[in-house]
Amino acid sequence: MASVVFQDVVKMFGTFTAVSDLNLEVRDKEFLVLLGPSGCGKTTTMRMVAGLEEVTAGEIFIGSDRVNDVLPKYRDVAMVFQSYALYPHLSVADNIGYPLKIRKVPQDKQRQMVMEVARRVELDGLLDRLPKQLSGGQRQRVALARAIIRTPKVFLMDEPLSNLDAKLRVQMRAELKHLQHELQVTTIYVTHDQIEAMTLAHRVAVMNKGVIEQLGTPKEIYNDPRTLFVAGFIGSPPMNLIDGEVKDGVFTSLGGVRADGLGSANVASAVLGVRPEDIHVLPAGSETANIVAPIYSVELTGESTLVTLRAGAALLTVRADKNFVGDFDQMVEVGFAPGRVFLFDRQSQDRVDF
Amino acid sequence: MTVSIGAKFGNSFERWFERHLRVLMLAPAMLVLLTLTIFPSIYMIVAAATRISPNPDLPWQFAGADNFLRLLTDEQFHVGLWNTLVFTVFAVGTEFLLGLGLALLLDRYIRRLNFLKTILMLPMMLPPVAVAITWKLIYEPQFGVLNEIMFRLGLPLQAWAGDVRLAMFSVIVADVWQWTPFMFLLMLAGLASLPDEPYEAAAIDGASAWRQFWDLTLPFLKPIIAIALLLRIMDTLRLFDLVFILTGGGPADRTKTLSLYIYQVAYRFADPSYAAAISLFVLFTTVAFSTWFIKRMRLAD
Amino acid sequence: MAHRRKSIGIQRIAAYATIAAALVVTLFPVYWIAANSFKYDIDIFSIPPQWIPANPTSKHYHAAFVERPFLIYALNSLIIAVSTTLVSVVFGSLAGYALARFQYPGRWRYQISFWILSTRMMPPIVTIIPLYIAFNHLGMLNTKPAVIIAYTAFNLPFATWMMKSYFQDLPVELEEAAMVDGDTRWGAFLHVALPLARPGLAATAIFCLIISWNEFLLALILTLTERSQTLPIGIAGRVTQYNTYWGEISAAGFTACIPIMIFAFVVQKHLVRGISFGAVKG
Ligand SMILES: Nc1ncnc2c1ncn2[C@@H]1O[C@H](COP(=O)(O)OP(=O)(O)O)[C@@H](O)[C@H]1O
Ligand SMILES: [Mg+2]
Repeated sequence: MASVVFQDVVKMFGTFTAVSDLNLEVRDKEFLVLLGPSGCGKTTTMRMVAGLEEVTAGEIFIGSDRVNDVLPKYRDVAMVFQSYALYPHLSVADNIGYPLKIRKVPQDKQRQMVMEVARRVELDGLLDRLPKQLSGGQRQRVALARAIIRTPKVFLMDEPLSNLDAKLRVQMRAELKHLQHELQVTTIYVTHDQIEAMTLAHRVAVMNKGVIEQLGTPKEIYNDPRTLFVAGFIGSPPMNLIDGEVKDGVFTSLGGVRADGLGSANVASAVLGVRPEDIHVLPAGSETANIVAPIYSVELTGESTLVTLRAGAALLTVRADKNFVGDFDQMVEVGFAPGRVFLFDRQSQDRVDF
Repeated sequence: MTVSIGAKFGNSFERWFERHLRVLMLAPAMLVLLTLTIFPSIYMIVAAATRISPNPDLPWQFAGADNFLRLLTDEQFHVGLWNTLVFTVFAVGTEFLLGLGLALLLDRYIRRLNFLKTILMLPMMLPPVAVAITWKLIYEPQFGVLNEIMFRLGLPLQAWAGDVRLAMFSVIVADVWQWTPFMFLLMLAGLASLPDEPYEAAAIDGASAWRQFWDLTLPFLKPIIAIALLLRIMDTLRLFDLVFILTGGGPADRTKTLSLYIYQVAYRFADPSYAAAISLFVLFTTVAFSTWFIKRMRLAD
Repeated sequence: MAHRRKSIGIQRIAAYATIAAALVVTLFPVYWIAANSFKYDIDIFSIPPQWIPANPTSKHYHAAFVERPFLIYALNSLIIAVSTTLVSVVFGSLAGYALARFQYPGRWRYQISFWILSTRMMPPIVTIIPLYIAFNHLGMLNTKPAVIIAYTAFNLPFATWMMKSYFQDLPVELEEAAMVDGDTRWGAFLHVALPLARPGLAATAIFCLIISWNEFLLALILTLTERSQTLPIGIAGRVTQYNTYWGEISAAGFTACIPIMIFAFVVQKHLVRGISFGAVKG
């Protein structure tokens, strides 16, 4: 069990920078999720910890050991691959026991440990099968069992749930979280699915284009996005981002969106951010409306109704009550919850505090 | 339950071995191939530029381009070159058409019949020497099967491989028998990889089978056709064993190929310098042709 | 509509007829050499030809393999083919794995791969003269090792490319998983990649055996006596200017075909890949 520290880590593929200047400390026993869109360098970051990818510059520490030049086998990490990477020529038992076999653990001890782990992930009874005779969920469990059989210093998981169907994914998510809590092993978990990140992580590192945009607890990331990218990436449906202008604390957009109470900020090209759930439908003729706009579409999701309004060129999503009724092109007045709007600078992409 | 892996970060040999694995794994093959190709190449160039005396004690004399200039006037060489080209064009052309035709038939009417395919594949895997003697037996003027068939059909009997007019034809037929399967197999593989949707779209658009073949099948197959032709041409340009057994290059040099001529120059006329010059010519034209062909067909990508 | 269906039926019959004809044409020569190998000389020379041996005899097999040294030729062929195959497959797997998996500076990986393939494309007549002279100097003419070395020169590039393509087909994560699980790269190659590439390894080995077993030109030049002469050379030696020993060479020729016919069925799944990298003919 150990912390993982990245110090000014850079990874280049030829002239392409996949990870630039990464500084991050994953604390001991922490469940840290690397979240970001596909191609942003999450997998590369994780592979550098495992030793599958060389570091171009900077240093990586596992515990107190600098591991830049250490072979993967000595790093004592375990990895669950997106494709599971089960050995197709070995039975389930041999797959799970492979790390022990390499370490020359006595046969009977191996068998006992495999049984124990298999029971834990509910694979006992399937031990003699080959991977190709298993379902997707079962394969996933084998990969997991192979990782936890030797209590490594660090777990690395690269989108381990992305190949499962939606229902199984939710179930495995809970199991994973519980398992990590029980084993108390430092875990780095990669995903592009923000719900996975929010539900699993102690802390989330949001990555974009090889850079960590923000590091924080799921709550912080959601309630206090520091950059335009984080604001747009987290949340489903995503935060409404409206381009406009802020003069003396008053935001106006071409589409007729208006918001005041932004302190005394002045931003020439500003972006106003407000989450769908922080926008409320107001009774007609309300004086506090931030915008009056026609309905573009209405979707009932079950627990609420998503109403999309057309404000000039922009579309604005509102999470309204499930009993909301409205027709296409009907005019609706909405207001933003006070204190729940964010302001960003389009140029620097950063939050503007007010 | 923690299981450790012994020494903390491994010993220095292991680290060295792992770090240099990409070189170490490549090294044996590279060394063998470098010795077996670089040495002969240098030797050939040196030999072609010298006059090697039959007396091994005498030093080699520098001959400059003499050996290559001989190529211009050596009629035997021209005959060999001509025969090789004729053989290549007719053998490969026939094999391609037959192979493609058979593949289209089999792909359409008999799918999933691996046993049948394996039988049709057989000739190209058989030892060329066995193939040569088999055809020699078939072509035999007195008791051969072919003349028996001619007789039954009321046609004049022929000497086949022994006939000045028919020798090249006979060699080509034997080669076609052995190598049509090669074309057939590659075409079949190409056809099996064709996507279905374009054909369905074309059928809906009302394209005839013939149009579909020209507009869809041929363009799709083009890369594999090009590869098949290239491999076969490079092979026919070096034809040796079949003619060596079947005709010995005769009658009247009608089937003497370049490879056979080089063999004769080197071992019967004991003139390794000139043989080296012809070999280099063959090598150079083969490389030039395949480079041109690969570029032309845009096979590099 | 009825007319249309009928014409499709005719097409189908024509197709089957063509395929049947192709089968006959393919199989007849093989049958014919086999049939003649079991005939007495007098039946071989009979006019019209005797389509089915009337008096089958194993006389020619006895003559070839007991009275004449064809058994030795066959053994030489076998020893040479197996040795060449061993060397080619071992070195070829190592190099093929390296080229499939490792990064090299610049475009070296591409260039090395291409160079290896190009050595395969060299006409043997080009390399054989220098090899002959080198072996002559080393006193190795007419020895099996000389033939093995020469054969390795063109089997190794083939084996390397074959194995490279099989290793490229394996998901790289399997070896990476093994490394994270505690193996070295070399261990991952031995314990994971190699066992998974076993079908490819077998196919490559069989193709190498076939290439070596069938080869003619290099053996013709490098061998002189039954100390090193292979089956094809032995057969060619009985086709002389004055007399051709039809029964004997038919027996030996058909014998040479038998292992190939068995192998053909074994490697049939790998044939396309094999011949694309030059699995047939030297
Ligand atoms: N071996 C490689 N060679 C070149 N580029 C690579 C390599 N591996 C990854 N990349 C590039 O680096 C970027 C980050 O990749 P990756 O870490 O896999 O992203 P993801 O966040 O989706 O896991 C991508 O643009 C990818 O194309
Ligand atoms: Mg990834």
